Amino acid sequence: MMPFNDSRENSDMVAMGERVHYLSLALDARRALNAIRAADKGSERTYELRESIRAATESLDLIRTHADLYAQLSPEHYVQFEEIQTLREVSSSLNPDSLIQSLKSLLASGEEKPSDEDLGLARRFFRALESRALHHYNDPTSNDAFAA
Amino acid sequence: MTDQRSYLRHDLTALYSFIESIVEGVTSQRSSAAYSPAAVRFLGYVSSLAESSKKHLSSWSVADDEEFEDRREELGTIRAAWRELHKLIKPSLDADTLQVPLAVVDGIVRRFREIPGYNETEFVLFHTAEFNYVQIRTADLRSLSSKIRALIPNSPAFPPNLGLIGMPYSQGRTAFANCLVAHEMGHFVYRDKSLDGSLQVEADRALKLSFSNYEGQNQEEKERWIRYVTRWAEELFCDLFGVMLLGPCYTYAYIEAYDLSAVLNSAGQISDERISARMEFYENHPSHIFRLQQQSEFLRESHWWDHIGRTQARFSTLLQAIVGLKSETHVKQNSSFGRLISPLIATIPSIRKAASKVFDDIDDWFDSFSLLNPCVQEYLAAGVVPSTLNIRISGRPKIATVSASPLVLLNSGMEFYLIRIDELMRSIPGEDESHFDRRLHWIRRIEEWIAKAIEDESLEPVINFARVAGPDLRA
Repeated sequence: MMPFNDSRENSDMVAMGERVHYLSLALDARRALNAIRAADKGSERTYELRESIRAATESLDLIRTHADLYAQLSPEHYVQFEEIQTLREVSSSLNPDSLIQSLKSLLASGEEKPSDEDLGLARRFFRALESRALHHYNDPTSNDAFAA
Repeated sequence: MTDQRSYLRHDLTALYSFIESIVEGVTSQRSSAAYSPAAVRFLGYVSSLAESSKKHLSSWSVADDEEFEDRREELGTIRAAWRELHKLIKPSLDADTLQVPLAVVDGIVRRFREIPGYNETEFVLFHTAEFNYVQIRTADLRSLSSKIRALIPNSPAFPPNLGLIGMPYSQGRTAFANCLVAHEMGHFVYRDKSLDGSLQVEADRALKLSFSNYEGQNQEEKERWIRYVTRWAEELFCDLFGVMLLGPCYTYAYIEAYDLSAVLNSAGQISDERISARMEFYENHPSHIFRLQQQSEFLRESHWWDHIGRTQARFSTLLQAIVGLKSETHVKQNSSFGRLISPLIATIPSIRKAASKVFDDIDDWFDSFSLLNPCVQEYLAAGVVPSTLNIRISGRPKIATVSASPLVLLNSGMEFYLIRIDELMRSIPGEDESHFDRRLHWIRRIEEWIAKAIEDESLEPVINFARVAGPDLRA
């Protein structure tokens, strides 16, 4: 079960969230999951897999080190509040160091297949990420997506 | 316990049915309804995505429990993606060509296409129930579409150069109020150019400079502040974009939409009582007064300012009065967001720069307006549609016949609407300018004449007066 931070600060932030970013994150997580399944079956690690995992890994790294996510422009990590918030929620229930290490092992080049442990942890993470992003997306009180 | 995999057929059918019900309206469009080419492209995209989604679901299966665990949530993600499209389809189907002010918006789109890189852009118009103009973030929609393509085989790409703008369903017959779509086009460009990223960096920098304890705040609090400042910055960008796209008629439409002239007292000065009630920032938008002040200051640095100063419109008085409002006043009137106003103000040079850059080397049509405005207004005063203007060019013996651009027509028409309706009515025997229904009648006529002139201009090769006359005649 995912942790739920019910502090007033966080509740306010969710209420003003842009739903589209949750949906985008759910789709990213889904893309990663499908690619991990393919990699597990011996398929080549695709561009999609690398991109999805790289964005998540970089962001988790920054969250773990409390680095400034906005200090520089980078396409390598998530910058939307909804994405970062959801990543933070999901990663807090997992061991961040092991998770990042497992994700990085999936990015490593070479013929060697990732270990079952690494694959298992990555799958658990992306499954949780997709579910949590959908949970936020399905908040009946949140704003319409896309509109500006 | 029953294996949950056995329920998949039911769940897949439910999702299939959900998609089917959403696109039902697209496949059974009213035969009497006609749609703009942009709407046809959008509805075609939806229809094609529905086909590929249903095909994907028809062959969707899992081989074992492990795959079930990995893939069950995929159905929820597909459903969520369709929920997003759901809210766009019915309003788009309702906004057929009889229901939207096509000529005026087409004219604004033609002006939009003068921006480099957007010469093929089209906008789908749809109706909103609330009195709000809304831009659908097609950059986000396009990004989602590409992610959906990775999930659903053979799904279509989101059509290129396509924007979606919602307008209040009640405003189909009006011309000038629809100048506000320019703001929504600003959102389209803002997202398309990914300006959010660079303004987040600017906001972060401004916050660092504004607060000595900023670095010591927890990351979530910093993100929250950045988020507010960036959202407000986007709205300001879109307002300045609107001003650059259409000139002061954008700002006049904005003032009227939010009744901002109410802040003037009977002597034409700012009423402290009424303005202070309007200065509180919203979560997603700066206050209207702050936004108007930024537009006014932006116009002050443009060619238009002297002309605005000479105009006898009340709105012109407001623009000149509001320009001197002190930033401390905004801070003081905002108990919740006051501390974030200084960082926002610090980002304004970047916002202005970004808006100006979009319009680099693009004619603001002010020269053309200066020459043609008196003529357009005289035509309107005489009850003549200003489609082709016969004007005498100084130093030339013959009368030239020219047409005015949509930007010129909208600004001239708007000025006439604001200043000369009484004069027009007084010139018509039997009319009484104090009768609202008659005033409305003539306002509608003015809007229709302007809309007709904009439409006519699109049908004939444009005679750009400034180019015909040459630079020596611009002064």
